[in-house]
Amino acid sequence: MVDEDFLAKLHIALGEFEKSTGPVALFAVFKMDELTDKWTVIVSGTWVEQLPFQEMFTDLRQQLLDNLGKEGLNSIARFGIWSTNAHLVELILRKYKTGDYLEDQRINGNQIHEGYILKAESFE
Amino acid sequence: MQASDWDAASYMMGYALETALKAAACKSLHLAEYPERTGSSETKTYFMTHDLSQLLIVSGMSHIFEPSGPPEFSSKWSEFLQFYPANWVSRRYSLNNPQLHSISVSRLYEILYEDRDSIIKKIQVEQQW
Repeated sequence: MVDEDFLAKLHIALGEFEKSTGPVALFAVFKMDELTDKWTVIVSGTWVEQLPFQEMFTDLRQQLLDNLGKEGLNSIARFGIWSTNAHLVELILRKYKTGDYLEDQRINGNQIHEGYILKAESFE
Repeated sequence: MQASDWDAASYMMGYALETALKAAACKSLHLAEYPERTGSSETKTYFMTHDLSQLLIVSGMSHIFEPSGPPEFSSKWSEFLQFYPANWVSRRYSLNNPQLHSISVSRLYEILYEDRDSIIKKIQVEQQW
């Protein structure tokens, strides 16, 4: 299971990120493929196609640094910031809901060893 | 790119980055050549891969390109990697990927080569090539 304290801090970071960037449709953390000891953070919202990637990345990075600390940020290998119509995002939103815990799942050709869906909300 | 072959252009960019990371690994680990033909199954696991995230680790440059690194470089890495999942080499079997078009592939080229803080330029500076 994902550490509860880590998840609580991620929830705070998510809330702060939404205040500054906009409503998030998907916020999830995965340990996937060969990266079994670091997290991949997946974020999606309708604002993705309006903002430069670096701006979204820097904002998300700052929220995670503020809430997780340097050690927590070190546990993250990469961010995926996708529009809501990206294939991977659509697959996840179709199959999972907020609060779901994943273990040994395959999504879009990627092996998910462990993961947690902090927020999954379709905007239709 | 001049031929508007976006699949091929993006594929070659993936290989260019893979090659740069493997060269950086050799320099970081003081190896005369990249250890691909070793009989050790553990060495194969770490080195014989096309997974760019895995190669970043063996290159010794995670501290630059992962989110904990300077955002001017780590943002470019994350943005580039969105188009290169672990199994990216298999895209040679499925052409006309809708994600790959003139705008996205041109952006990948900027991130990899042209930008002032491009990934390859940073690797060159760090490795003193």
